[in-house]
Amino acid sequence: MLQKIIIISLLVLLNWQTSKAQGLSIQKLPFCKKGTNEIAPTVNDSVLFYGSNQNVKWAVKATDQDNENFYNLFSVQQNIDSSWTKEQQYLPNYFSKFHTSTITFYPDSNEVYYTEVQYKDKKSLPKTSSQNLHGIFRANLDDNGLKRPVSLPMNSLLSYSTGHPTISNDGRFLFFSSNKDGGYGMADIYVSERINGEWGEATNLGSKINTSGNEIFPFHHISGKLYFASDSLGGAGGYDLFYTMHTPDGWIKPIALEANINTSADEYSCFINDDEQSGYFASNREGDDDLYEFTRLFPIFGPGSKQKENTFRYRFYDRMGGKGDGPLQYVWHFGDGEKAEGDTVIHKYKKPGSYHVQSIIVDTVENVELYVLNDFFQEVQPKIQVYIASPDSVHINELHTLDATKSNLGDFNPNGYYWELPDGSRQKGETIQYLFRTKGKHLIKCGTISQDDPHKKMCTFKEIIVID
Amino acid sequence: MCKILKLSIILFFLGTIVYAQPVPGADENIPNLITFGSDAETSWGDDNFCQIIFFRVPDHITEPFYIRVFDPDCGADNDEMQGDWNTQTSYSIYGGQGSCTNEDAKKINLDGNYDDGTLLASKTFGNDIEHNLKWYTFGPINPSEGEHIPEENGHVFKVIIEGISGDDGNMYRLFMSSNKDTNQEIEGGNSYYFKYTFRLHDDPKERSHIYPYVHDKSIVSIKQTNFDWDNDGWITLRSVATAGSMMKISTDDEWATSMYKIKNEEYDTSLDIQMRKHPSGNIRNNNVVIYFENQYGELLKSYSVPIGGIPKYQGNIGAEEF
Repeated sequence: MLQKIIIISLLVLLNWQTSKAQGLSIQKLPFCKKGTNEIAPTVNDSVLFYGSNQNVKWAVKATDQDNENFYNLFSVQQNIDSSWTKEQQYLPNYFSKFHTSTITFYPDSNEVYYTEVQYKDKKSLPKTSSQNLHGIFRANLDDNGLKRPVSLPMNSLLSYSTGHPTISNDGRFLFFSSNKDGGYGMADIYVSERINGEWGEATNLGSKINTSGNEIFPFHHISGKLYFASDSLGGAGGYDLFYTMHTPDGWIKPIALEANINTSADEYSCFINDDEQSGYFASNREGDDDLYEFTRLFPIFGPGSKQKENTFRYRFYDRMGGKGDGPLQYVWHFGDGEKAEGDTVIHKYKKPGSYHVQSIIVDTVENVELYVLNDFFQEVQPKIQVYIASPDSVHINELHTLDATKSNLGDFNPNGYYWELPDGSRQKGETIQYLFRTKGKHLIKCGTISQDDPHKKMCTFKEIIVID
Repeated sequence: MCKILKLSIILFFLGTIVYAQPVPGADENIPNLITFGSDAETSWGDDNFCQIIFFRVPDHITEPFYIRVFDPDCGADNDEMQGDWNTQTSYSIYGGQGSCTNEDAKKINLDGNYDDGTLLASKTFGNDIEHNLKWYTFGPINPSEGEHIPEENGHVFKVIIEGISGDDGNMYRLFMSSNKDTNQEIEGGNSYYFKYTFRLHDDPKERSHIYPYVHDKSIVSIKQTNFDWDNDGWITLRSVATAGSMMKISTDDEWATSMYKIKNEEYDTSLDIQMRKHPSGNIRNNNVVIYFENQYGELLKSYSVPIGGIPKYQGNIGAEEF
């Protein structure tokens, strides 16, 4: 199946075009050629690498068992004026003469990992290209090219393929795809942990991610999200791009990327920039496989944090619990004229402020305050978060105001507020108007970006019940 | 770390920052020590009409020093009259071998050789108006005349104050000074006692303190014993690990005891024994006795300035919004 994905040859529409959906710009990269496939984009040091089956030898066309061009790695760079340099085959003398389709770079290292067929000469190739067994290789990159390529232990020369390596930002985990037996379907995603410099045994990521179909081209993002393509997780049709995240409860249910990235055609193999505002992916929406650049016009905030209400309610207690023998008791003066007695007390302030709190040891028999044990100022402030002021429950088809003006962002300097609304629409503004058109429980999300560092974001979501 | 080395380090540290020669110490906030004449009633607040205070001079001090007594006489001001002034109080300073290490000197009862050692100076005062509210100076005394105690890194002197006759209460204060005529503290010197007989403040707002030192991990509990508290007010124990633990107080002419279990955090720290009177202020001129023992019945040293400073409770407050 990997072979099928890697070697796709369909007619294409040559002209590139831009499509803009709400909040999303998609543009085919101009160096993608008619009649050739470009797949598996990755960026390293501002250079875009990808795999392509474009012909690399003038006059002599090397083809595989099915008379198709071999895949090779290419690199290209974007100029200041946004144009692209002429694409070049990447290290043509160092990779397989046959198929080399994907590459990734180990963080802060000269190690590279790539996918290629595991045959040294053409005679060894199976009868058809679909029988080729691909594997993941590691090599060290220096000014003179690649050194000491080694086949990773999860490869098989007999029965299955592995490929599409991607490495977590901390260098600890290698994710890849394989059609080995024992998975959930045809191709599954696996992970291997690096221990003492060696990659350990591969573990299947499980049934939340892997289906009876194909899960391929994983891409591990710096945020911890694992992007990948699947043809069996639902979506817009064919292969679609999804992401998942690992939580203490395991991998979350995969979430499809937005419409227009995913279409009824195949979308697979993506690279997402650190801020998740833009990236590249491959799609055959115009016939053959091409690379597309997407740019999100609205900031992406990830899942966000559930809004916490400002209760101004505090629990006070002595961390050491050092009250000893005798009829002694803590009496707490909360600084707002109220007091309470007990080892642990709860007090709700009426409004924000700085309150002078004292804990006093009292003889409860004589009702005499013996001494002040602790004396401090309690800052009572709204929680640091984007705060969505709105009713918790609204009526359908009524216009409501969603208000972020009561947010307390601390020293975070906001650059606008961005809303993600239940119908998929987005709005910008500190206060917006919105009409809920369907009943049920809906999430609204509001986020902001830092003026000082666009990578820093704050985001909150709130659940609103819509009733008749 | 061996006990001697540890104590040496503590004392060395003390020597660099602490001047602890007034007895009672400033941090104790005790107005006066008191010793009654031997014919007094114990119900007046003194169980055996004797007080023993130890002064330590660190090894590096070689110059002569003085022990000064404020208001040593028993008459006129700052003393407690019972009928006529008829009380004789002796002040005796001992040094030399055994003066401070003799076990009898560390006990509460005047049995055996509690006055062991070399008598360096002694004077008895009666109703001597010329000494009323004045300082009397003993000395000069050579530091080498004290008992050298290696683990104390210094020479230690024992001052015994005894009410040898009469029934009045003699109130006084002590000071170890480098100067004959004024109170000049000796760098690194300190003072301690095993039992304290003193007068409480009359003002209920005043809080007095005693600072027994928990020097040894073998101490698992202490027992406080107090005498003639007239059931007035509170004795509470505070420490780095205890916000407050109430201790039992005695009634008139009676003893009372209570136990306190030592916590791990309290080793090598001082305890803060706080004493205050009831806000009603009904009882005045209350003279009391207090001491502390470990679980073996050995008396604990209390320092007039707490070793390691006044213990501050380390249990900070949790305040969590929810």
